[in-house]
Amino acid sequence: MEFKELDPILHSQLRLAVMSLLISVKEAEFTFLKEKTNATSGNLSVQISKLKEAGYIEIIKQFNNNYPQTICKITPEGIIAFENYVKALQSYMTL
Amino acid sequence: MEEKQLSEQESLALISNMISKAKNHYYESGLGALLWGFTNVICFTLAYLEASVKWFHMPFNPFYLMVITFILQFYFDQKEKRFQKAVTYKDEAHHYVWMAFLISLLTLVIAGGIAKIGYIVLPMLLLLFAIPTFISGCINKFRPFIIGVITCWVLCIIAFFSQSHFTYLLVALGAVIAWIIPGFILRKRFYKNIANQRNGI
Repeated sequence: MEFKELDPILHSQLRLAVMSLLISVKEAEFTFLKEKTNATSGNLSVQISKLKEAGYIEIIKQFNNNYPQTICKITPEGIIAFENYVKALQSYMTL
Repeated sequence: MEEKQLSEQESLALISNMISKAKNHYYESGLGALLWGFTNVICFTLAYLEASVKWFHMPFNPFYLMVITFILQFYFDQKEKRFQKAVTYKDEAHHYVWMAFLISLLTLVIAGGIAKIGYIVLPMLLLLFAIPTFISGCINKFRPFIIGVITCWVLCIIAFFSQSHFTYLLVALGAVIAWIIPGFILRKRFYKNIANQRNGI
């Protein structure tokens, strides 16, 4: 049986939590991710930047009624990476 | 949440937990239900008065007020966007269902009014009210909407047989039960959620 390697970008608690949230919604604000993960703003910013660099999420900064908004969306590459990660996990679990 | 390496079991548990949190996210301010509920009550009550009270005349067709509500709805949607922290696929489906309903409502009311098809349009409106309300009520498991829909169906049957200016009041009653009452309940929940978020609960 061949073991698939776990994606190091996803195999960390906060990044995986963010990806799991984003795969379930069309788009989410930074504050939504912060609230659901109970992470600090600084840590969350660092982790979403890493996900963005990997091409797994898209970050849109905009103003809505004079309020700054940071919106995060999962990309098609992110969806594939997440699916592969779950498949890899399942292969380990069936041991 | 601290940054740490996870075991396979921990990873799966985390994924499941986060998906469940996102799935339970629900945004509904109730403003749309209130806005359209009151618009319908005003329009149909004015239409009833015009049809039944001799001295009462409107300078314009009361149903044209719906066009103003359509614009107001767009304005409030933009304004309330800042409270919506995430857009789920369910929210998106809702949006399209209600958009289709509003366009159908305007088409039926305006074209039906111009073509003077008479009171037959009124039970059809009650049926039209029921469709998106039923979808919203079932998807969100929101009982007041479902009670409102059942009332609309009963009123629709009565309206098919009454076919008089009295039918306008049945439609207004349908709007009160299907939208205004649930709208106030949703609004109360919405303010409670905002207060909880501000207090960090």
